[in-house]
Amino acid sequence: MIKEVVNQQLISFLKQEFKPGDTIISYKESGTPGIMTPFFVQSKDEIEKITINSFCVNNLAVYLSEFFQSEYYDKTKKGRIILSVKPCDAKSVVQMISDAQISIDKILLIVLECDGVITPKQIKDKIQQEFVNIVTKGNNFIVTLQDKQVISIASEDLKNGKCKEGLLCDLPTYYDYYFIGNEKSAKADKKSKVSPEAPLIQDCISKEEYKMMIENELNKCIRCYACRNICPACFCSDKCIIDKPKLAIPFLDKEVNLANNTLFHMIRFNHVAPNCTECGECERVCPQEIKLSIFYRYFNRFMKKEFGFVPGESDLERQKLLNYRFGEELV
Amino acid sequence: MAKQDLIYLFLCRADKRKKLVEEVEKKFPNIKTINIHCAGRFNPILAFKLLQQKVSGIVLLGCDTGDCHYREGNLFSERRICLAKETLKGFGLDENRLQALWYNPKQIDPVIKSLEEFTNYLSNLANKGDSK
Repeated sequence: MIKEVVNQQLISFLKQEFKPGDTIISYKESGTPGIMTPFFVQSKDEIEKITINSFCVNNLAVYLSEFFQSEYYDKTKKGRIILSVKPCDAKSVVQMISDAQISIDKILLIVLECDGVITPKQIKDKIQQEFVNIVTKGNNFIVTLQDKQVISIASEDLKNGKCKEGLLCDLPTYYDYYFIGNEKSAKADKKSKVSPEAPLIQDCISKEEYKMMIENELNKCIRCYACRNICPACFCSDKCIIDKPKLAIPFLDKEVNLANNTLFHMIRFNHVAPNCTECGECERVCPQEIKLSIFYRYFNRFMKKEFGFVPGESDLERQKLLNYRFGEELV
Repeated sequence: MAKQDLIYLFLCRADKRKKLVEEVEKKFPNIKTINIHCAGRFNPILAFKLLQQKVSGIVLLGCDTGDCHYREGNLFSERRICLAKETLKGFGLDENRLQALWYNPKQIDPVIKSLEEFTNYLSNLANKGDSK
């Protein structure tokens, strides 16, 4: 749950901080219950429309790379980007700074106190039917069903996925951000919540079973590339190798089959593994509900074990595959 | 003799490895050699693409540590290969089908020896029924 106080504090902070030319990236209500949309504010009157609540799932860091790479980006222009994100998304931003994708003096990072977010899918799984409206009240969600029945659900019953484990909630060791909420209590609270690393699926089942499982998952893929487009670590934009049909021999055929799907996901995870912060956006956004967490958990665990590197922890540490310094230990 | 597995050998600094290339072509007709300027220029996703087709093994031959003509190309490559092997493993494929060897351009015998071992390993896999 994200507290209502955070919303009020954020709006009053933004009103002080906003200067003409700035762009605020935040959330607003979309009209569909339980879904928030990213919101871009460029004038002071619109700040009031910003709303932060427990349904703010989107990772806003994606828009940064899009902004800095676009042809409209003018270096001489004075405006900054003011970004209000959850701690887990702040890690993506810090990783992008460490990868030199964005310039620090052009952004203002605001980290919000967060205690887990919820998607409408989680609620649908819980109540097993469609709902018309949903509001938060204290620690509960009040859901209105299609037959005008009203149910109250406690937030503890709903948490699953990435928010349950609390692995991502610790703040990055980056100095230059504003914290909305109580930072000291949030930090202490998160430290106690972090659970020991859960065992990987790869270690629990045999090789044949694992191969079968992957084949089932990858067979579902329709190659819409939504996972690539939403990923803050996939920042090659128009230079992506799978977007080059003009090559004499196209690297990846357009035909959707198991072999091509596997190749696509292999390429993606091979590229993304060094700077994936496990934000889980690729899995959330997948229309076919492929469990991509099988793969990114596996590769992140490998990066930590082999290279001793956790993406998004610090903006000073460079990712290991692109940066080699003499005297550094070899693998 | 059983059907031979197709192997691609990527090697750097081919101008200094002429003798080796001749010997490899004489001894292993199933190995195709491809010249690249430096082992650091080898793209692992090429290995994924090739392994999905009828190629059953890929070897990258680079210079020894500290010997690289471009100072640090092979060091980058070492890390990339490490991740590429893990990628193959994570997607349920045999990570040993991708091999990296680090030898000086002057050394020939150890390369031939490790290539022999690699072909034996692949033919063992093929006999088990795990062929491409």
